[in-house]
Amino acid sequence: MTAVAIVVTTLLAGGAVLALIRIVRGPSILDRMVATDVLLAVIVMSIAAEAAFTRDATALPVLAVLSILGFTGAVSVARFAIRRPASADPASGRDADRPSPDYQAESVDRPHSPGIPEALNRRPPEPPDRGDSLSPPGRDPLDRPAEEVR
Amino acid sequence: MTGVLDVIAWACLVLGSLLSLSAGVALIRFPDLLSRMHAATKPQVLGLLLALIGCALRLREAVDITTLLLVAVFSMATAPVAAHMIGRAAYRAGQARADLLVVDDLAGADDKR
Repeated sequence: MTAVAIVVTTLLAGGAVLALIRIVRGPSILDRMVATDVLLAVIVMSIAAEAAFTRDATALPVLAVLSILGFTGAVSVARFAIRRPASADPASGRDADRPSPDYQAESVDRPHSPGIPEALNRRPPEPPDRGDSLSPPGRDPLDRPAEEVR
Repeated sequence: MTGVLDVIAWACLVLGSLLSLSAGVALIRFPDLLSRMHAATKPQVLGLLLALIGCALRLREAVDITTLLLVAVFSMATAPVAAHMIGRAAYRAGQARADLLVVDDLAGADDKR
């Protein structure tokens, strides 16, 4: 039984460490959210394994709470990580995380602002996200300007 | 009889934790977010169910098994919703690698909002 406990602990710890590495490396907030879900599943499994090995049911309500609450984090992050579409209406597209209405108007209205030539105003196309290397600075959605991250 | 149940419970726990380790390896090695999501469902569904079955086989109390059943039902109900929203956000943020997709049913969709 002790050998089984050691094996299970090692496997679960390996999975948790690898999920943590993916949380640190990113490169996007959605990658981190998927890895966080895996980490939560590993935590739930380790609590269940602890209850199985000690035959002690004290921690079982924690499992019920975790299985409900883990879902709300993923849903809220996915809801606010969608990039704003280019045709978004600035009047109806106010977000709570915008710093001020002035900043919002300047950033959202940029394609229609007078005086700036269209060629200067266009944003360069972003390279495809390979997702397998360490994220270079500025590629993280959290570091991008506010009009790109929602 | 109890020895047999214990052995089954230990087998379930070892299999479930093996799935969690494989999901960790796949999170590191898989190239894009959709394939990482595919790997992430293994400990979330099958691994979790195996761990809960192992726990239930060890505890063998009606109250504890009811709680474990509740945990399983909650997880089964919420994991598809979260995966759906993350996958949709990933596609709209352009993080799904088009060269790795076999079929892209949303390729010609006008409404990307």
